[in-house]
Amino acid sequence: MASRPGAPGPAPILEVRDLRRAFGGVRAVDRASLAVEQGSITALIGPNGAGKTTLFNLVTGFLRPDAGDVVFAGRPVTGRPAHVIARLGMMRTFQLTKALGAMTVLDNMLLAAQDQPAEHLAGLLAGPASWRRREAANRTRALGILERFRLAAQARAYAGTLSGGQRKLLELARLLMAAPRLVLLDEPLAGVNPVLGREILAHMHALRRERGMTFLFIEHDMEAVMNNADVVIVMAQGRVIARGRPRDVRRDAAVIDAYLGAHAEDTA
Amino acid sequence: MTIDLTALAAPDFWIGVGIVAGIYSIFSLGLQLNVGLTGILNFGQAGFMAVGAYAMAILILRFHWPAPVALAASAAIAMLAGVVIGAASLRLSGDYLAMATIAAAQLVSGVAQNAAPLTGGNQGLLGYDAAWTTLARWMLARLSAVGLGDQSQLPLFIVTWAIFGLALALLTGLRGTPWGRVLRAIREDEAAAAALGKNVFAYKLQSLAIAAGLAALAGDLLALNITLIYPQSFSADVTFIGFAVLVLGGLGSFAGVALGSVLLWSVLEAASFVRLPLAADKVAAVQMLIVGLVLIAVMVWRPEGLRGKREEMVLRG
Repeated sequence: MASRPGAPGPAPILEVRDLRRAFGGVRAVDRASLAVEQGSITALIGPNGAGKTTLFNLVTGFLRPDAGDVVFAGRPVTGRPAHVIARLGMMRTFQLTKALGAMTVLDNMLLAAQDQPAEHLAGLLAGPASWRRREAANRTRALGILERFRLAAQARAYAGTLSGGQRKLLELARLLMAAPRLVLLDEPLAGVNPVLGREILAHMHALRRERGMTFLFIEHDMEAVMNNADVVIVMAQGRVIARGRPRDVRRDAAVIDAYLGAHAEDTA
Repeated sequence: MTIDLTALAAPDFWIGVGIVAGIYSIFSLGLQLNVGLTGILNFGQAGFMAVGAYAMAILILRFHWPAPVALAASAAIAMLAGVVIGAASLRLSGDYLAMATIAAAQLVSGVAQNAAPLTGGNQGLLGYDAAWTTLARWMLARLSAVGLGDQSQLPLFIVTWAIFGLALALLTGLRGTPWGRVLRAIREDEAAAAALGKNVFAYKLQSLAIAAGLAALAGDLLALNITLIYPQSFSADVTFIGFAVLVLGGLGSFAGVALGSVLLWSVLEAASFVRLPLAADKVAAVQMLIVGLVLIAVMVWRPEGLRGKREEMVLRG
């Protein structure tokens, strides 16, 4: 089972079929196929240069694929713009945190709310009373979420004054504010101390449990992957080479090959 | 070298400076919206100014539209030009966008020079200000009641700063809305804004269109001030002075634009009273030199500009 690439499980929320993208002569993603089950915590691993981040960019609309299909919640979204895909309920974070530094923590949160019609000029015409009410409700919700992520005390501070780890938490808090169905996290534990790392993983499990959110995360920390993911998808050289439960993937010959180089088993 | 300062005490000198400073304030409000609030490097603002001024003059002279309608239409036409130019260029980033906007302004200038039947070519257009002259005379009659009847430039001064005040109130209001928050997010990081579901392109287009409308109003007022417009009235220098105003006033501050503009034009005009034993073109160069020194002084003393926020400047990196 572990060696069947991209085998669809029950009720996939995300399906990627034969996705391809080349940069010049480099085939960064080369006929990659995978499926992410609804409500799962799925890890995407692979050696550097395997095409994991490019795959994220293709799936979330930040890059256009050369070929292939992306289906989110039964709806084809291949090549749709990033903001459209985000509004449909598939949101992502970036390897380098993108907290909006010269905005306050609270403004970062309010920005993520998806139900403020006054974000559009036409919506402003309804008059300030209506959008201020919505704004007040969103502020209450935002402060509640910040409380949970232990950022409430910094609500009025510029996000740029937060520590690296706090910025990672703010990104998660912001996602919760936006309430997507599927979250793609690009190396959520990179550059984070172990205590905060455990906290981030705990938030991930809690959000899945409480809100039914699905997570797909890229990670190099194998211990975190093996202990937290229900399913592990392995990429190498632009393709998905394995998919399965952590303990099965760990023993998969193709995976060992990809990480340690070909014929590793001969020397082992 | 001698300095004759008697003219500095004359009210009409300051009214004249105030008009130009006010026109550049309106012009730079648009730039501030683009550069300071949205993060769009718009180097074509003078082009939109030209579109506005020529549209007003042409509608009045060639199509005999009533002046107030022509004024409103000129802003609408410039906004449309902003949408068209933006649609073609706003998917470019940073430096490329800056180049595309410079090119667009050059295009406007080229049309103004060559579509002579409509624009008067390099001779330019004049005589579009008849309705304004009538209105100004009416205003002066009212002003003479309070003893200001002999300041012939005062009506334009009042109208210019009234328009600036309205535009300032509108933009300040917009900045505080959720719409303004999205613009600030785009300025910070486009990808992050898109990842949160914001249509970055649409917001940039709106920002550019509003800036173009403000440039058009500034162009209309400039046209009334100089009574003759020709392509060089809207050269790229105008945009660069606008950027100097932004830097002086502080990036991101709408009110700072007025401070920066008044300071810059006071220095620029007052510098012309420094009598040097030099040819006229060299005197003009010395004027710009003095302005440059003032700019440097402000940057040393307050890198964030007169009204900018140092924290935001630092945090933006």
